[in-house]
Amino acid sequence: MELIKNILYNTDKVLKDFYNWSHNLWVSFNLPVILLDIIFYLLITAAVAAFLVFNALFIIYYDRKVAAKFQVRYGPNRVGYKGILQTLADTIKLVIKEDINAEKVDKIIFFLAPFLVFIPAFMVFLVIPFGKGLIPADLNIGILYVLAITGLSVLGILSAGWASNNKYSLIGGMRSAAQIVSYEIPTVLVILSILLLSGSLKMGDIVNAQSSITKWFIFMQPVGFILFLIAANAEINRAPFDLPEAESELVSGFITEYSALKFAFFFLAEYTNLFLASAIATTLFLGGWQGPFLPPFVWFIIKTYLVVTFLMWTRWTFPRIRVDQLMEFSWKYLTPIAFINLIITAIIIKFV
Amino acid sequence: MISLIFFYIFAVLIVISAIFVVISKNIYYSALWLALTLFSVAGVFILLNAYFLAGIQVLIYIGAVVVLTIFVINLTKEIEGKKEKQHNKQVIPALLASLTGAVLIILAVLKTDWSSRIINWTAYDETAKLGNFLLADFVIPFEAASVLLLIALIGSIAIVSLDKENK
Repeated sequence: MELIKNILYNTDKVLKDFYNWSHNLWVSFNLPVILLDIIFYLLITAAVAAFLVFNALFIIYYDRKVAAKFQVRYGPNRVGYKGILQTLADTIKLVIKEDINAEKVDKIIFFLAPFLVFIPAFMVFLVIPFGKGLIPADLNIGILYVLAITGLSVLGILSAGWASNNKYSLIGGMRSAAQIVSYEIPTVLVILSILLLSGSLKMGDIVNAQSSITKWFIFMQPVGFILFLIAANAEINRAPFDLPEAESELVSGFITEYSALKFAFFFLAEYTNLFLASAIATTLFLGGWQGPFLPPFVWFIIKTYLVVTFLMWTRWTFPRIRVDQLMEFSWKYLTPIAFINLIITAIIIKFV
Repeated sequence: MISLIFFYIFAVLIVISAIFVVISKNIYYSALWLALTLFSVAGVFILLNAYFLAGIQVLIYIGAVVVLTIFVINLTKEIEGKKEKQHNKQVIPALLASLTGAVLIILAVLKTDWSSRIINWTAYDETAKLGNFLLADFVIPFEAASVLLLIALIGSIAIVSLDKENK
């Protein structure tokens, strides 16, 4: 009982003890310590990968259920209890499907693009603080790392659009790149005003700066929170900003030519990015893993899923905005508001 | 030891991908190789404990410069997907220019007294230090560079709108 409580509430200490214990064991066998470190790095990576896959399986099911609720229908309800195994069945179907390569695609880049989209999403998990001390690596540049790595996925999307050799894919890829680059600016400005409050780029320090509910940055930066949610929603290409794959105009945009496992990678990346955007919003504005009674990890998941639900809510209630409105919205409204927000924050911190 | 191995991996990656940037027949491939070059440079920055520079390197050079390059390639119908020859008859002037550059860099590396310039960056909060350098100690060069960028920005917009009026 004590052990379970320890594992839940002091996960980092239990893990550290486990590491020290295996370290002593390792040394007593006269094995090189570096091997043990490599094994632990691999274990952490495997744990994150497992979390990513199971989380994506659940989040897709959850999205379909939420969509069904909004559209007054049942949603998946055949496979497993209330359809909970539906995504698993779909995944198996995707894996065993034929992998179709259109004749005139650029073979190498067509093959690489799904990985270029998926790998950045996986890499961002390196700095996500899941709980007290439960962060794969608390880098000095924490949030800057997130910004840099998420920018990489644009390369994959553009490449997918270009390599497909198809005008719908190309336009989809171009729209996506323009959109991600434009909406990155308000995101960065909002994050800058958060950094003024936290005084550190480290994810751990940002969470620690919000130690009580009155110190949560959502109350100091309400405008910033809304701006961040809008911009993040646009950066992960979800409705009402899903122009890169607008069905009515572009078939499926940059994923038109993809099938089977390659398509699955794009799908996995999309839902992982949804989770990551919410996780980062939680870390920056909602106090991360902090909260009473429940274990930190549980708090983190609850808050993140609240944000996920909010993003799904906007997805299923707003119509898609027009492509000319998209750029206007970012450059003429979001960016100036973010600038004003940043200046006001700086003035208040300096003089109050 | 480990960092030495990684340094060699990144060094080899930089050289190989830089060569492929130049010799690829397909300009889109060149752009992707360029992304790999810049990414490996970020890796070297990390080995030097310059995490902030590494982050900025990826954010600006790959997230903005390479993406814009690819964007332009996609917009340019003439060269899209075509196999372009990347060299012309200016081989000798190009060779001279790059040799001069290489000699200058090698001379600079050899003539510098490195031992007096090694700073223990881990002792500082690197990001804060960099911010102080840019906005306090070197604020005038920094602002001059920003004004230069602003001029370039306004200039390109002016040129584009001139073109429109002529039509």
